[in-house]
Amino acid sequence: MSTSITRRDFIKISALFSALGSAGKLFGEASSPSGTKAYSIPGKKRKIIPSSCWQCVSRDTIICRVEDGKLVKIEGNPKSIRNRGKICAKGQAGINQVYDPDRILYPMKRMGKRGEGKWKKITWDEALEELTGKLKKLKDKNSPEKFMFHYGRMKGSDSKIVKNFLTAYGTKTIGNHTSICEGGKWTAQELTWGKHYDVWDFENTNLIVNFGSNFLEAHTSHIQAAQRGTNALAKGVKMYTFDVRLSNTAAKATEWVPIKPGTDIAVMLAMANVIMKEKLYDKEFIDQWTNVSVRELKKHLKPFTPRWAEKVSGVPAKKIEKIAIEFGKAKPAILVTYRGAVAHYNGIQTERAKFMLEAICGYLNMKGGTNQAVGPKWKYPKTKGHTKKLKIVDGFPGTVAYPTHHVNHQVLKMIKDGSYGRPDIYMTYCYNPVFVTGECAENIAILKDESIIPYLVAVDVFMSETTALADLILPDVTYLERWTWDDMASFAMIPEFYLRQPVIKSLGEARQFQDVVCEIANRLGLDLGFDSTVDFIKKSCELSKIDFALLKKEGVWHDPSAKPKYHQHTKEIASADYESDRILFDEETGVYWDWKKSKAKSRDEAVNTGYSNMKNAYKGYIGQQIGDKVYKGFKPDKLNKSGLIEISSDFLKKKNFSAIPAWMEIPEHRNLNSQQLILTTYKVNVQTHSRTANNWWLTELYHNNPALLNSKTARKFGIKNGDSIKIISNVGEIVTQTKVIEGIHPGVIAISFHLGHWEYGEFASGKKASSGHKCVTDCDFVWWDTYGKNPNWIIPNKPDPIGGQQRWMDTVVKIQKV
Amino acid sequence: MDGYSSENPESLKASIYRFLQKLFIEPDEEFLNFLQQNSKELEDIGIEFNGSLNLENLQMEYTRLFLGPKGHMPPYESVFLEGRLWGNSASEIKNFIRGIGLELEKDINMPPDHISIEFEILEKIISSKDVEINGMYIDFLKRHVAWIFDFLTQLILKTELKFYQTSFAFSKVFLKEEMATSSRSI
Repeated sequence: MSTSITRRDFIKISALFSALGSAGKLFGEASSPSGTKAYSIPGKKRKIIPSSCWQCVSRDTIICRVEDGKLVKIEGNPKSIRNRGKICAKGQAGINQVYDPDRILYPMKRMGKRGEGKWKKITWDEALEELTGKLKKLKDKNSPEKFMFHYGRMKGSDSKIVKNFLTAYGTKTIGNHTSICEGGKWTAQELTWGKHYDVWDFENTNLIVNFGSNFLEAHTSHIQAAQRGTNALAKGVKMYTFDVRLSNTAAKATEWVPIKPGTDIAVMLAMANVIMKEKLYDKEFIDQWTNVSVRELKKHLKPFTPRWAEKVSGVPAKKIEKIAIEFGKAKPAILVTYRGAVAHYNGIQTERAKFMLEAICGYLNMKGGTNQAVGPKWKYPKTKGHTKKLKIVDGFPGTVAYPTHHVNHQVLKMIKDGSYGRPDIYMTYCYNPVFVTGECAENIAILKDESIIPYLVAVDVFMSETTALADLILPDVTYLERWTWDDMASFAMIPEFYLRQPVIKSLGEARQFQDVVCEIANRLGLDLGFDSTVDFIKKSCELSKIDFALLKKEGVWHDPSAKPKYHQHTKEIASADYESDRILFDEETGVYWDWKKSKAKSRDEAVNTGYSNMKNAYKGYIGQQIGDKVYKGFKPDKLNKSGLIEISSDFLKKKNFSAIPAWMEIPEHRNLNSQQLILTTYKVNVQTHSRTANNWWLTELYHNNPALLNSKTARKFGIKNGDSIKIISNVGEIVTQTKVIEGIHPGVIAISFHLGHWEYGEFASGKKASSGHKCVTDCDFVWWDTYGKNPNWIIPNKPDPIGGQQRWMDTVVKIQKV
Repeated sequence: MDGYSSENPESLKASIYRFLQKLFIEPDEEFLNFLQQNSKELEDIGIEFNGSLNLENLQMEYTRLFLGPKGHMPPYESVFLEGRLWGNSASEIKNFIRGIGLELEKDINMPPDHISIEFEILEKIISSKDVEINGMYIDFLKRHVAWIFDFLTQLILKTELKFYQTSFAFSKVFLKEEMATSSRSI
């Protein structure tokens, strides 16, 4: 090899390279003449593009400032009635998602062994040719259900478009991720007051009692809840927070009440007991809107005294009494719950106990109380089709009574088992099961095994732990390059229609997956009724009578004459709406229902089977008879409950659970020995569960998650702050550091989610997804070198027996100093 | 010689920049044909081109080096210097392109500080008949060649293909020489 190039060499080279012809593929002539001084900065006029966030499920509205095609700043959209111009740190750091050099920008095909990391870039045409070839084969064999689609985050039109495609294709083997979030909370709500999602009217309440929700830091409606909750606290509204850990929400409370894990329900039952005893209940509300009487309640609650609850939960009886009386007298108060209370063996009954407590005080669906969520009701094109499914999304038969939000953390186990069928094509979309469900080691083993999962396709923005095992990677765009109409619940109690639109041109060859499914449908000859994401959104706008151009310009729209929707259940149904041939009256429940919306084949079948037993009868629910009137009531969803708040549930009775919420002991927590602790997990305010750990700014803020231990516990085990410990459960062990604090229950060890990635990029894992560039973790500004630990390695994938919620907070562990 | 003459070193350099521009974009059939037809001449300037090299090997190595999805080196100045896509260098390059009266084609989906775009800019500058633009050559080189140098050094260690290794080495030598002679000539 020559070490220098002489003029002579140039001549040779010139002759050689001139064969390449002209380069000029990259440039066209500019419309303006040359002459501007190079490097001069043109007028830095920033374009403002409204859109919506998608760092987490809150999906707040945003405005993006774009300078010469480059996104430079994200803020909250001040025109929004939901997040009212505010967004969180995660939202502001969104710039780092879109410009992350570790993003996947090209379709990739696996070349080496699964997980080995050898890839070939292929064209979209090649990728879709391969995928549609396999899809077509399955469809031709009349086995479309062997295509399993498993999604993590998919909402609004993103979800509708993909589900339309799956319907047209013919598969209903669709997995979601709700059981690792708060599925149990939703099932409990469906069993109790019907349609799920409770919105707390913080700004009009007089008292907040919080069980296990860190809503000032992390919540499905984070900024909506946090800013309204903060306003309440600033006004002097008291808040009691029951939590095993002094979260920042607990720290902001009037009082943090430490509680033994999984015993929240005991305190709730005792509070209800006190309220009944002290006659602080709302008899009228109980009589009219629930299916129990005061007498029944008193009888049922009698054994659950504060003294009893003290023994179970460790919360002093006097404290329970005091808070119960304040709650009963507050008129109104709100009771907040989330995973801390719900992600347990007894989580469903805990959530139902919350509703019982609020119902007996009459605090539901009212100003200052807990309200049924309102959100925009988008109308959209619906694709018709006949579907089949593998029975692998609701857990092993007999293990979960009412898996209304599915049991996604059992999917891989069921595929491994094989008795219920296996998908030939397993596609993940914005979902990283390896990392986000328990038992990581087993997840990896299953997904690596080509005899169990023959073809794994990952639709992803980043190289997640699951995507690293894929056979084919389809690069999706980030939320800042995406079109979606969206529909999050509104804490303003007025529905807000809003849009996500690309704020920059998508990078590389990343394509919005919704456009990709349109193309796949086209290749398979399926008619979806729309041909692109934008087409779908425009058609949805037309159907919903929403001005698309206005939505593009403003990002949000709500009816200016709308009033907050309190007391939704008290709306009277006009007789014309329930007096028709299709509508039946069910004597047993008092429900009017449209039998044609159920699965009944004839009117006779519907009449004979009855509302409660007819499949999908809830879909035809019209209203609830109370006295001589018919009200909207508490409309059911997923289950054929009545329009009343079912404090007593026949559904549960049928499956041998207590009909009225009652104490349920967590089996693993019985007879704990002095060496055992209960592992709990939590979230912080600057990271999402798994998708932001490679976000530079966020990871600078939060990059280590030592196990939290109470100082008493640490002393007992001879552990000092910062010591390394081994944590052992019955599914594995991890080694991590400790942080010794006072603000945690002595029987608990806590590790946050978010961290401990071994893929996902350099900030997340310390391993470069992309490499070579100087200025990432070895750069001067990177002052941290920790990546945290994922607790999921040692958490078993276990569903609660009623709804199938992953029992995040029940794991019993031992610890050893390393 | 297709309009390039030994009497005009600027057009010789332009042709080298054209080669460099193509070296850093995804190899295609046309590029492979070029290599195959000129393997002997390539060897003369130190670029080792093994005739048995096929397009798939070339594309796989290109993917591994530049596209990922893992362990790659995204060929962008702002990734290399600032650790992110579309950093300050990208905006600077975008302004520069506009400043010399050009505009990126609309369907280019890569940020403007891609190494190939930088090489093409150098080619455009050096071929320009506009004296003012022509005079920007050394300035642009000074501003942007440093990262390319470091980038190439790492690439030489990283690549497993002799063709890329020797091509990157050639690129380095050429740029080094260019910096030296151009600085002297000012």
